[in-house]
Amino acid sequence: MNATQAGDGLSILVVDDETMIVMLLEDMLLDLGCTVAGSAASVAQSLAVIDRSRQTLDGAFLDINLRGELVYPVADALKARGVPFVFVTGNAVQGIDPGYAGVPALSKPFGVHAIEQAVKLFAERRRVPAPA
Amino acid sequence: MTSAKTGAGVWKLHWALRYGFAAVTVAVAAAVRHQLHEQFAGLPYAAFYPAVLLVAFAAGVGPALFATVSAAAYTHYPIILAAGTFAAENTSDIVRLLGFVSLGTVSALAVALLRAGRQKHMLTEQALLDSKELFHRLIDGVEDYAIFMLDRHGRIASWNAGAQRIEGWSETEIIGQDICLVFPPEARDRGRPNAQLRLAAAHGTFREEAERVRKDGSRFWADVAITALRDEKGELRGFAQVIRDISERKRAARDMAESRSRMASVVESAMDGIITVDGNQRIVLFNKAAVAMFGRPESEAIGMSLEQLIPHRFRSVHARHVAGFAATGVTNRPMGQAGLLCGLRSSGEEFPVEASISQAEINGRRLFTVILRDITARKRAEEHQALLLRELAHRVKNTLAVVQSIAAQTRRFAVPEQFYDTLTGRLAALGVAHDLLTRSDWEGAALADVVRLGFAPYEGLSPERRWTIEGPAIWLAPNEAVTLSLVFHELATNAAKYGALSNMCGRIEVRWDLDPPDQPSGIRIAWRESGGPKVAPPTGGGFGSKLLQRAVTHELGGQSDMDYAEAGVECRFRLPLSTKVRVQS
Repeated sequence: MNATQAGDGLSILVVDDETMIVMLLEDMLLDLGCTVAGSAASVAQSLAVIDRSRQTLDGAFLDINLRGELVYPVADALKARGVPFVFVTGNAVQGIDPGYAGVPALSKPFGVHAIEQAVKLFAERRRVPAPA
Repeated sequence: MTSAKTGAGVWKLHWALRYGFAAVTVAVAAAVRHQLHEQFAGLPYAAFYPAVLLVAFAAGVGPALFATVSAAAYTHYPIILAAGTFAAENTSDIVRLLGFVSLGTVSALAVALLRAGRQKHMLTEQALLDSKELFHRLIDGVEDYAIFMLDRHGRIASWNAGAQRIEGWSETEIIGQDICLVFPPEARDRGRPNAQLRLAAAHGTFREEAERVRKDGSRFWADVAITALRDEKGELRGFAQVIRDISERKRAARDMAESRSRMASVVESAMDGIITVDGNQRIVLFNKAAVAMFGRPESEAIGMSLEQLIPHRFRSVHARHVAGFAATGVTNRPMGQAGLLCGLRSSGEEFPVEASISQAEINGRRLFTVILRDITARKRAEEHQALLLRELAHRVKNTLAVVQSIAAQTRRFAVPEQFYDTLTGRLAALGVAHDLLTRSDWEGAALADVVRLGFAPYEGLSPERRWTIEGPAIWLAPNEAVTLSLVFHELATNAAKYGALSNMCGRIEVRWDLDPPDQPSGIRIAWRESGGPKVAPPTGGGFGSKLLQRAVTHELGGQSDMDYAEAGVECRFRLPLSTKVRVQS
């Protein structure tokens, strides 16, 4: 698969409360040549993974609603570190906080192509590091 | 009466006729005198006195004087003729002439005066008679009122057409009867008839509104007025009674009262708040529903300004709208087209309302009635519904992603020939997990039910059930229930393929315990197979073990351990207790 190049060893965080979806995303990312830095089902787990990864994260897929808990603190932590991320949500776009209007959002269920686009975005951002 | 009329007629005859009558009378008198010459000797005027009197009586003063002069002239005619001048033959003739003329004049005047007086008297009498008759006719003819007289003892003495119409008895039937007859029996028994007459006699009049009976026994409501009749000496002569049938009015009043109380009960029992205000926005009506809605007793609300039921920020707008509505003259319309309407409870709490306003002018007073409904519950339901719809959309999409993942995992692990069966088995497990949750309105599911679902496909496979499920009641939130359903589906499927359920005698024991038992922070779940074929550890992990491991560690925050012991697979895992996994009381 030529998609293998797209990932190019990017280190990705996957946040979703649904194990099956995490497994799906992980498999897709692995197929795209990424490595999964970690997966998390809650804000606390996510922040722990971010801390542990020490600036090596290249991108993240964030499910918005984690069993009633909203993922925005994770988004803020990633933003502060200049790590690009996309939302993955079952909700329609209006379910996203307007404060994060510029962030790309993937709708569940998602095709591998959508994931590949997101990964390409992450790869570009790595080549041109965002100002801290 | 007829004679009086004739007399008056003659008096008013044409003057020519009256003078003619005078002339004829004098002529007749002269003829009589001529005939009875001897008897009248020395009394030349004797025949003329009665003639003058007759003329005076019958034709008046003028003709009487004319008759006097004519008679005098006739008597002295020969003298005048002979002498060519009026010269009396002797003094006695002159005296006699003057006597006749003055006597004729005086008697003419006297008779005329008498006649005139008599005439006048006759006329007055006539007028009186006429008016009395008219009066009687009037009373007789009145049909709307029963008007009749009673004698001093209460016996009926007269009876008009109205009495006959209202009471039913004819004049001949009732004259002489006691007034008791028109009273209902109970009033009669209480002595009302006599009591009323006594009161009328004492005070001059008596009035009441009461029931009376008709000839046919039916009753009617009567407005009764009794007047005592006394003569000039103050002696009681009888009573006049006037009775009006007011049944219709009574019925109308009763109907009105009935419809008013019906209206009042409708207003009071209405589910909607009904508030009426006058032109100054003062509350004049405040029904029970309004009391409940605004938390103010009616006594407090009446007289209050409507404004006080509206949150501050809406007051000026509201006043403008009501004024605008009054100006339109439209009788009613819904309120709040401009936006949400809010009411203000006495507690200070605001609540959404739906309202309509109507106006009416009653006795020159403009009243506005507002009918309102507290839609707090409906708004809440609408919000809840919107939330459910969003939830549903989210859940459907999430489930599609789960299905997508199951398909991907199945493709990754299953041998191609088994792909379809494996996939549909897993989707079926997902489906029954959803069924289980739907039964509780997606509140969650009991762990025992989730485990049981995993075995459901193997129910009835052998005569006796080869699995046991045991443990304290644990409640799982929806996501946890779905994930564990998939886990137990995989464990059971593997057992059926390779483990304890793949032969006819293997057994599976599933049990869980609180951990630690006294102050539990989690549950330990154990899946133990025995009696199955000899176990060989799988080469490379399968989907089941991967799912178990990932689900328990990732999603449920626990630990898991698979032991492929030769005697049977043993799977142990621990889930921390939380709001999502909790002990059921």
